[in-house]
Amino acid sequence: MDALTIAGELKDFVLNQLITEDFTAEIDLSTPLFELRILDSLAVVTVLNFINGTFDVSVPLEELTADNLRNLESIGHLVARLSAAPSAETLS
Amino acid sequence: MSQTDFDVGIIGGGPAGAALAAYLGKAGISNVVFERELFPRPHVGESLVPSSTRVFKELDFLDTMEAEKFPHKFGAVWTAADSNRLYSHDWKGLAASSYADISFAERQQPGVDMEYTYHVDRGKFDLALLQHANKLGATVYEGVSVQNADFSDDDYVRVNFKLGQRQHDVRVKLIVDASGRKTVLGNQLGWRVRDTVFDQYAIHTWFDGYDRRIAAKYEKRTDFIYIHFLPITNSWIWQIPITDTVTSVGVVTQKKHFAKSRESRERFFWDSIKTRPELYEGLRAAQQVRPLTEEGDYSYAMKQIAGDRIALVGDAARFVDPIFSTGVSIALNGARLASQDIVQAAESGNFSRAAFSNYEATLRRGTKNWYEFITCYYRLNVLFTAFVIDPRYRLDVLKLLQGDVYDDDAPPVLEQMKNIVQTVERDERHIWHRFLGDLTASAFSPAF
Repeated sequence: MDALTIAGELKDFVLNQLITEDFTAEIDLSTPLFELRILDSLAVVTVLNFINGTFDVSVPLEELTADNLRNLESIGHLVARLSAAPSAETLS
Repeated sequence: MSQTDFDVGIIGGGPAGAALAAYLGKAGISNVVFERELFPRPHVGESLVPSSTRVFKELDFLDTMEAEKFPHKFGAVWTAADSNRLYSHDWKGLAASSYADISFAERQQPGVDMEYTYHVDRGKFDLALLQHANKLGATVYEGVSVQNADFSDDDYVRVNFKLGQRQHDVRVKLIVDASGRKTVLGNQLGWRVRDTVFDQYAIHTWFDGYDRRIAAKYEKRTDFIYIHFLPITNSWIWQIPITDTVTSVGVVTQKKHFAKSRESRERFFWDSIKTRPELYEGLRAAQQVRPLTEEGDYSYAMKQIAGDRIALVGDAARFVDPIFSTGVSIALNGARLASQDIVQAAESGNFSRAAFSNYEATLRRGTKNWYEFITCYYRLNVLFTAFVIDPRYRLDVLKLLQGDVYDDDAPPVLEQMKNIVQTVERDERHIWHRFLGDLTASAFSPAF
């Protein structure tokens, strides 16, 4: 799956599950998630659970860097990269 | 006539001493408990973990636990003030926003088979367990403060104590120090070593009429233990149900915070709680029913926990920061493990240090795992919470929280936690880097 499709599905998840009704600003794939407090240090684990359930990709907690999590697009790239890479099980 | 008065002497009638006395009594080994206080007396350490149940079962003590009506503890909840109001779905307007909880029922625990453990009024609990030991054959001396143990004779240990103005002694084959943080024999033998990594301090009391729903996300979880993080380094509040209406509340913080503040302890207690306004208001509306009590002496190790004719159990063997309600459970399981070696020693007549090597190794393994778990917790608090809510790790963390720490040399979940902590330490761009606590990586090598 390509990064933009993934980012699109993540956007639906964020809109439907993470933010409350009083958050009215537009959210697109380049919206800075942490600056706008759409994500925080723990909410991001909820996103990882969603990614695992939807795309069958297990994101290692080591990957939770500011660059990887800047916006929905960068998360999409992260997930695409991890799903393309051979998993640890395959390697061993 | 035998050279000794009893096979085993036990200093201290708290959970470690009483459980050991009960095990030995059950096995038909003569033993005497020297308890300094007259029970019941108040004591800190009011919440148990499920591994305690194995001991209660083996000692036929579960009926008493139920008869005493100690509140059932089905799990634990962590709340934090680090609030992001946007992340509040499913919150229904409650204040705390970082929240994690866990129920013991989520993981089957071999040898336990119960979905809950207990919160206890330690006055009642300790008395009941000591009486139980007495019923199983232990001799109990209350109000007797042991001065020292004399190891100069090869055939017995002489236990010295005073009754009124008169000096007395009792001769035993084995002396067990279960004197808690007093560490009577650890001090006498120079075995006690301060743990400089954890320099924590606690101040606590009981409240009547505190509304435990204030911090609860789900009403039925009001009888869980609550750990409320404070926005102060390594600081948190415990909230433990004692009865339907009475709640134990304690502030745990680094000693330096208290020392620096130069406030009265009363003021410090309330100022700390004020950093969580919703709890502050709830507690101010309740009635404080006990004076504030301080606990220092936090975290130390012993160079040895057994020797020729001597073994240490419970807090007298090791004290680790109490964040995960481990104290009583380690005391009870330490007694369980020690009793196995002692029963064999009594059969063979060999009470040398080698006779207790199994106990020593198993207890060290368990406390090492606890220690590393606690270190991860303080070093990177958010990681602990993330592990609890991440299904990849949740059950492995729960296993540790249930107190099953004695079997594995290096539980994989702990290795993973340590690896991630190291990554976060190295990578300034990691979103958790700014949350790193005061502890440094060297904290991972406990002194003993």
